[in-house]
Amino acid sequence: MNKFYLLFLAIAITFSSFSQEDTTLVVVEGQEDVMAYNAGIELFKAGDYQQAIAKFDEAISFNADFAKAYLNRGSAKYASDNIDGAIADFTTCIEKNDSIGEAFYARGRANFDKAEYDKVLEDFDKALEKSYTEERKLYYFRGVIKFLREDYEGAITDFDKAISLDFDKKSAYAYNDRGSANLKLEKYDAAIADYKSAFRISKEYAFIPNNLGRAYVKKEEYKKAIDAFSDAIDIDKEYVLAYNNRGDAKMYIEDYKGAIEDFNKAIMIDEKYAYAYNNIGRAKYKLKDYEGSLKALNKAIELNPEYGEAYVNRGIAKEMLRDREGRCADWKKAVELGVEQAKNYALECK
Amino acid sequence: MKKTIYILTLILFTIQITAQNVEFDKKVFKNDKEGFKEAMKNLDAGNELFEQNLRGSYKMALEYFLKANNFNPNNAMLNYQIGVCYIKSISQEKSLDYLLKAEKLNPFVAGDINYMLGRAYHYNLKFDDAIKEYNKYKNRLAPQELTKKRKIIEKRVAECEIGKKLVAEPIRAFIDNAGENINSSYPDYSPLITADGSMMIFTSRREGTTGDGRSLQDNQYFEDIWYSYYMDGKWEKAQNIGKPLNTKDNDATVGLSPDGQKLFTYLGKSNGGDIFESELNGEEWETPSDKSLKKYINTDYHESAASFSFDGRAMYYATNKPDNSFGKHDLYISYWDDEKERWGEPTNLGSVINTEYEEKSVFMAPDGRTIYFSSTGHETMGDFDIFTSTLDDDGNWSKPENLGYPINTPGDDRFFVVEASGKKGYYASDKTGGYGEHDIYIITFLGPEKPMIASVEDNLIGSLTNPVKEAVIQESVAVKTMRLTILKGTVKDALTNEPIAAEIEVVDNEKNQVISVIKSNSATGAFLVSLPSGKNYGIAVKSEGYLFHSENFNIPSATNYQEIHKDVLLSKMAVGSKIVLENIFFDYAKATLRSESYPELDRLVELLNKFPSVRIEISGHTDNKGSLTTNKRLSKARAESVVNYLIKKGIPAGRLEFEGYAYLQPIADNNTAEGRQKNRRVEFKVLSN
Repeated sequence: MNKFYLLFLAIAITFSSFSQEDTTLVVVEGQEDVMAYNAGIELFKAGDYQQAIAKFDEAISFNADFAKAYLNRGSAKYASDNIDGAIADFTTCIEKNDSIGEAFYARGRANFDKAEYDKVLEDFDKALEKSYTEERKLYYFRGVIKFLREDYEGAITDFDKAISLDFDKKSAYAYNDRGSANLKLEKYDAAIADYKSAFRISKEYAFIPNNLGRAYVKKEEYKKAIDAFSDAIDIDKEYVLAYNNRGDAKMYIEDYKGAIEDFNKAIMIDEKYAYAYNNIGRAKYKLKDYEGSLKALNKAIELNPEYGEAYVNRGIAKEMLRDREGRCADWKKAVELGVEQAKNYALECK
Repeated sequence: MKKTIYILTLILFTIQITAQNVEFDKKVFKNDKEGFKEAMKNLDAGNELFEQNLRGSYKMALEYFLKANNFNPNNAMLNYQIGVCYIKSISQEKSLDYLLKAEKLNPFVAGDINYMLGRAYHYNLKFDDAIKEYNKYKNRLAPQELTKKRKIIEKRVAECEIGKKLVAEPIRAFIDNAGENINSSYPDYSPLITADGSMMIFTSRREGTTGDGRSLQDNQYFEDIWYSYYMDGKWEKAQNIGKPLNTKDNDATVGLSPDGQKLFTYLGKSNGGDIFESELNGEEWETPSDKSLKKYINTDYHESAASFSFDGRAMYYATNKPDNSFGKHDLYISYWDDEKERWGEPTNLGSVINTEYEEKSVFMAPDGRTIYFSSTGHETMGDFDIFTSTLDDDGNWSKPENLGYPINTPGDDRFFVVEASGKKGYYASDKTGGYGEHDIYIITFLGPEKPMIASVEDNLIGSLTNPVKEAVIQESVAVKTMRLTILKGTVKDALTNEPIAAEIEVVDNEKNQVISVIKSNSATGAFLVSLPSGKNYGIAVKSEGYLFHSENFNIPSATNYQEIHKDVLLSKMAVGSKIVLENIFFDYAKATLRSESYPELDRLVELLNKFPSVRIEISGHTDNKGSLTTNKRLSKARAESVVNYLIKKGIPAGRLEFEGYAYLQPIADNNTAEGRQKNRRVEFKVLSN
């Protein structure tokens, strides 16, 4: 959904910039390549990517140097999830004509999906150099890359820029992501303000109030967090994460039964959601229902045998069930799976 | 008008009292003369005991009072007396109902009814109600009385405040009755445990006591000492330890050495209460003796509670002798005087540990630095609570910490001991649900609650579909473990496999100082030594006519609790016998002897002096790292260094040969670090006898 949204933006821009030129175009003999090309664009707009690709193929067969035909074929391939094919076409476009900023952006965007962030940054620099007009997107994705590289300060600078360059509804992402960078920097008030701005801009995305809830949890304002997670659920009734998160927030106010209800709702939507089973294990432990806790944690581990945290927790439940050896085996396994806390507990097992 | 109301109220009040309080008056019970006679008999017998003001007599008085109360449950004074009997003997929490009834029947039943109610609420963990009653009592006291009693009342209130805090945050532990193989329907208490938790010795007043005698004070059997072994995950049926430890009088456990080979006992009839000592020879305990304790430890005052230090070189004990005391019983330390073969002049443990109130029931843990004791001072939640304190490297005690609820209660909590691991504690309690009277309970400490890890995830980045996972945990809980190593095993003859009573000498190699000498049991060969972390220990196992056996344990100070099992086989002095000298240390890649080797070398000198005709070969061995030539040269040079030391100490050169075998005679796998370590060694071999 998100990916498609951005992809469509990219295509729409490419298309509109071309169609402006197109209005001044006089169709004369020998313009078969352009005819095929325009037909491809119509098909793309209709969502028929395969036929669009065929038309762009045709355009290229008439004119092997038709740079924008490569660009648009690449976009059609990208839309049909052929990322490598898309990148190859964008590269050909650039080889044919290295002054099209959109081509650099499009290739960077495709490489973003492949997590080839160095290549993305290189292309985005080029796009800026080639006067790519949608600068805010370049800053936005650069911010995201910095976020993923845990350079949250740097990310905020880029998100600031992205926000300053655009005042329309699409900035919800930039606000949200800046909020997340602030969250990571433990600047919870700033994060809350950003998430709220994002939520004001768009009530469409459940992840925004979900993230707002997370910030409230961090700020230890659990009632507000629960409300925010509820807002997320109102937007998307199937949003598993928000149920899990609301349950988690209820744990902090010692509403363990309410928490279990939420974790169970998450499981009703996704019966393989191991996190919710882990969290039921936590809640039942708090309710001193150690058997119940063990059962839930068994399920979490059955769903994900590499789930280190669930092993730590199951060891804790087993301790209360007086299963001395069982708890030690679980903590040992958790240590093997790289969970630091378990090392401390495993000391008791010598 | 006012006056009329006052009189009316007074009349009504009096009517109410007389309407409820039923006096023991034969006119009232004229229809049941026999019953009344019997009740009066019980009442008189109870009163006589009550007047004695002794814990035992209050308990005995209860028996009579309860019978009388059965006949007439509505007598204010009798209800009050029953309440007081409970408070002053056992099952204190049962006092509350009786005292409440007494007060209801007659609010002025006794001058201290509010104080007693305070006590009753206190024992029932109803701290706020207790504080109210204590304050009521305080406010009703005449100024002169208040001066006398203010301190104790305020202390009780403070105890309630502490109790509130402790009960709100109970410590996490499993507290289990030690079971029917240990406990009886009679009082069982004062458990003592070997460091490895394999044997328990305790005091019981059960049927089958030696001589079948009963105490005149409380009509219960005299104390005897009982023991049990922990086998296959459970305690075996407890056995009477028999003579000479048990006599027809009271014989009680006080302190056990970590290896279970030495015992302090308590003899109440001796000199106001004295401590005696006994040692296990094979399967026989010696007759307890106070020979080593006469000079400084036992006085005309009351000595109780004693505990051996991990190395047997010091004892901690409690006495109420007044000199150098902070008040009542205090805790003292005394060191063993090798020369005079007795416990030396004691020192008061000081003001951090001792208070103006009672300090008793001392137990020194096998780590040599953690002490447990019971006190009615410090931050107790009522009566005796168990506290712990640790000794730092500079010899200072930390502020005693309350062990917490539910181990400690508003009643007496005493006789607490722990295993060397610190994970299990043992104590006695008369709490409900046991086999009767005091029972022995086992505490398994769980430490602070371990927080479970939450798993949550969020779509933090709008343009990414994969959620960002977050595992949330409160700060991890540090698991406290005792920092010591328990080394245990058996010593046996290498040929016959017969157990040997050997001396096990523990040496601080760096200080060249003997830390302790203990004996293995002659009947089983079993031994146990405590090695607190932070030293390079040399262990020498020696017995007459045998070559000594040496072990090295270098235990850095951060080493957590561990148990090492080591069965030692001693070889007779015979041609061809070989011994690895585990405590010889050289500088890296050199043949220079380090000073930590001297204790081991001196043992060797001692052995050679004892057997003046013996000729030996000292051999050096290496691991397989490096060339044969280098290793041969190094191993030979090292053997030579050892020989030179022996010559310097007066051993004729003609009795000594040396050789370097490099890595040609490995005793372990050279492919592992551990194996290579074993292969790098110095041995000696008997060449001729």
